[in-house]
Amino acid sequence: MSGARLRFNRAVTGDYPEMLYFRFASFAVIIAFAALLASRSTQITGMARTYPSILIFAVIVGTLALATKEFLGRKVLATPVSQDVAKIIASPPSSRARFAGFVLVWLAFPWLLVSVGFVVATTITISASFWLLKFGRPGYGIVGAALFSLGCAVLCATVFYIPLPPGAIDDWIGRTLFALSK
Amino acid sequence: MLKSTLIPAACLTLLVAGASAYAASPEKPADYPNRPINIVVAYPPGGGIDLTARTLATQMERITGLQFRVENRPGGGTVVGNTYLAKQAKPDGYTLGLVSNPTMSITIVDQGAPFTKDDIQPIGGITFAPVVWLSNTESKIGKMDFNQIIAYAKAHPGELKVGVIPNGAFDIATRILAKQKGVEFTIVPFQGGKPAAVALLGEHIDLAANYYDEVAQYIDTGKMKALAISDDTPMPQLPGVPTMKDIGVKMAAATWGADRFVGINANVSEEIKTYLADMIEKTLKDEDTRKAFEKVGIVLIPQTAKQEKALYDEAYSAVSEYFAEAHAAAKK
Amino acid sequence: MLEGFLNALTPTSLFVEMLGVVIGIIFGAIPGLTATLGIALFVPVTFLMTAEHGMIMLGGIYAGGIYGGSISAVLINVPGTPASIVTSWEGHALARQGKARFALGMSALASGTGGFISAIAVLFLTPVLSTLALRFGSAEYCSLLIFSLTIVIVMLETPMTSNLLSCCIGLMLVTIGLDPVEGTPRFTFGVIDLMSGFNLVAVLIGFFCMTQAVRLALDSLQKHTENLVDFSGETSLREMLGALGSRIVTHLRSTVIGIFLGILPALGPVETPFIAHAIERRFNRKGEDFGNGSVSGLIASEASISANVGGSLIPLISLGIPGSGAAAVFIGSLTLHGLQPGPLLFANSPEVIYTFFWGFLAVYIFVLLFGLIGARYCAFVLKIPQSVLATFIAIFSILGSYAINNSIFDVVVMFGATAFALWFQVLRFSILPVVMAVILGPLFEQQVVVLTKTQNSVFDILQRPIADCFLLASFLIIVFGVIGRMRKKGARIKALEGMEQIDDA
Repeated sequence: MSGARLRFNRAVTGDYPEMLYFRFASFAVIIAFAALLASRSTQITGMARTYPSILIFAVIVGTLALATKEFLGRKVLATPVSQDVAKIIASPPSSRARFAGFVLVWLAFPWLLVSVGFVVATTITISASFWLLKFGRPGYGIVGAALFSLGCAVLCATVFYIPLPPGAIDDWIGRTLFALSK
Repeated sequence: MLKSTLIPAACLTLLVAGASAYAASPEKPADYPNRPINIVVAYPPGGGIDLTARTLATQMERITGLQFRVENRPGGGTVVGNTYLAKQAKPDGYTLGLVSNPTMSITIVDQGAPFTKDDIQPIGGITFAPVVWLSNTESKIGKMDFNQIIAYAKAHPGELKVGVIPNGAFDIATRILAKQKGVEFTIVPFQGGKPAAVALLGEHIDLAANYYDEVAQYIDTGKMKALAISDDTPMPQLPGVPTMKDIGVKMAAATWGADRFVGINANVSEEIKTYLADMIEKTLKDEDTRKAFEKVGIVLIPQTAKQEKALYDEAYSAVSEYFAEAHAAAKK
Repeated sequence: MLEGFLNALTPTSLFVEMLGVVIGIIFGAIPGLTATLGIALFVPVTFLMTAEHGMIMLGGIYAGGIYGGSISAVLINVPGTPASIVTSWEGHALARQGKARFALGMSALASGTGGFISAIAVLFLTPVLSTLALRFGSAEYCSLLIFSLTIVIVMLETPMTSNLLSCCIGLMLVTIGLDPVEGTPRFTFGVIDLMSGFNLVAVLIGFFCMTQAVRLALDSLQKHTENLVDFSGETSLREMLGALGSRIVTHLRSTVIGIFLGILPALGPVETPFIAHAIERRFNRKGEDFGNGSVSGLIASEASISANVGGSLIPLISLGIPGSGAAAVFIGSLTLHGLQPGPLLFANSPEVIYTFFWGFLAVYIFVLLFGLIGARYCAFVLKIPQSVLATFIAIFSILGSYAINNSIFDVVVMFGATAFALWFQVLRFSILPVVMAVILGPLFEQQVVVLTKTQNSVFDILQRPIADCFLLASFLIIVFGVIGRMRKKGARIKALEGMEQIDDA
């Protein structure tokens, strides 16, 4: 890409030429995924193959067309950066780190749930989430999180019959409730 | 520490008292059960299997005084729920499954389910429902009986459209039937028995395969006609409807349909398995249980753990045979 | 019928109706916990009651749940239940304009009256309308689905080509799973949890609830956190009735669409508001800004959802066919009470059915009352700090997607959907064509398969009048849509040229 075009982009996209690379990278991801499905479709036959094949073809051709159009035409290049991304970029590094922490804590939650059981995992995750988002009083946060998890676990065991991933405390709750109901 | 030893002890005393009041089973395992027992259903709530499980749970609670919970784990055409039963849940005796065969055998043989036949052990049979073929009484073939329809299909190959669920008992039984009778149907795949029944009522297809309890109302109101059933013993609810033997089709008996049974992880201790099998047998023998099942439209055909195991093995080999033949034919 | 009416007004019935609505509203208002999950979880509780009370309670939870979903949709822009996604666009935009109380009242009014009309249709027109469900074969479904997808692709403001591309991406994603022809795994890469594809509710929770948790978390870390919504504006009942009165055509049109889509067994309350809203956008002549706080759009969404619930009872009661996941739970519950829904139900136990019908009518009156009187107390939601709100939306989104199938995999799917939605937002692609494609895609493929098996030629399909109407309507929408866009573009270019001339001068 020529320097002039890059400067032009910078002007119209609000100083973030990276957005343009991001767009093209995204188009590449879409095409790659469609191609992956296409490579898998050789294993199927008949109508079960025709329908997805048409869609895969449409996605690849459509994405290529869109990418070409954006590359050639200047007008479509005027893609302002989305508000949320602008917020992340504008915020100070500490906020950015806290936000990344929030995302990571919740992404780790399902894994934690399976390894240590519902009550412990939920208490830890909610407390961590409160702390990362600077909720006023951390003590209240932890107590609240623990009460919430216990309440949920008891409700799920007695009213809703949702089998939550078990851990030591959850098993103990199950046994105690069973003994009490006798 | 003191607390943690006290509670199970208290539980045990209560349990012993409870057990002696309800069921005097001599071989009751120690400290079992100390929490509710789950019955896994590999289907979403509301369907036939779910109803069977919920009714069984209520009746088991009534007879044994224990707690039973129905746990729906649908997905992957039963593979998700049955894998949970066979592999993922702890083999501690707190997870039972309400399994439907040959569906499960088909998933093992043909769909790459990640467990084997012997991972799940049947501990009591509940009922068997054969496939029923139906026609719409108002359609052009509505007045014909089974043999007349076969004759019509021979004269018009490919014209009659049969609604089935792909790769299930409806589909396979229909294919076996068509092959042996030397007729050609157009098989139309539907995602469930209900959509196919609706298409039959709306005359979008000519025939449909389904289970009796799903279509009983349409038969009773004269909207649908039962043509044949995929078993060698006639169904008491459908007197006069020909069996496979009557129409001269050789099909494994009590296989292609829905054999609903209670299964458990084979690694659970023998003691618990025998105890549960006993409890299930006792529950299913009870007169009030029979009535409760009838109320939800299910006729009990109870099987002991041993009988059910034999049925399970037979069904599995019938399914393996069918797919071995089908794959061999496909290769040619 | 009269007996049923009196049965529905006994103190016990009234209590059950109210209880159901309140439980439903609480359940629906919590993002992530859907109305369908609510009734599925309360089925065991209904065993403690008689069949009719159990059914009324489930009906109340469902109707209340769908209204409750609108509360969180309006106040914090998180649809509490997937049916309220459309409500969140219009309702929250209105709330941002300082009309939160008005939006809450309007949605209660539109939803209550829409449900009321549908309940009357159920009471008197069930035998007539139930045959409609049977006349819909694969040709009709395919054309209706093409019509629905077309209307969304054409009506959205984003470029039509990118809408079409998003729609194809959505349709492609939902081909993952067991294929509808052979019933064998397709594109599952050996993952057994993928065999039934992506769970729709988990995907929708990811698209609309979890993304909002992420956004709120981001907002709460900003130094200047703005208030979400100003709740001070007073609204009189007269003002709301006036607003509804002047849009009575919109209301009736959406109610009829809702009942119609409800009768069709394959289309439930999730897809209905999208279709009703898009149709309203096409035919509304009030010049409102749809998607940015249009009152007509809000009415269209709310009236059609409630009418859909009523409409889905028609095939359920008369034919025993469930119209949605929620309806399947209703059937299961009825059967467990020893009542088999289907043609014999009216003949065998009319008192239960009529009590339920009247009770269902009463449920909507309670929804209406709650919406008009109780909604002001919902303002407390806005006093919760954003950090707490973000945390609880996250935990309930996870619990809600877990509890659908008791599956951790669905939680992972929900996270994936969140990432996908955020990615599309950064790309400036509209997520809505994807949503429609994900909702309607599996049904579309199934019906295409049945169509190719049952119809011999294109000529056969063209002989079906209902299908022709939908196809013709889709064609006209495309033609008018393209012409309209070309005109707009022409006008814009002219305006730009004008500006350049001024610059030059």
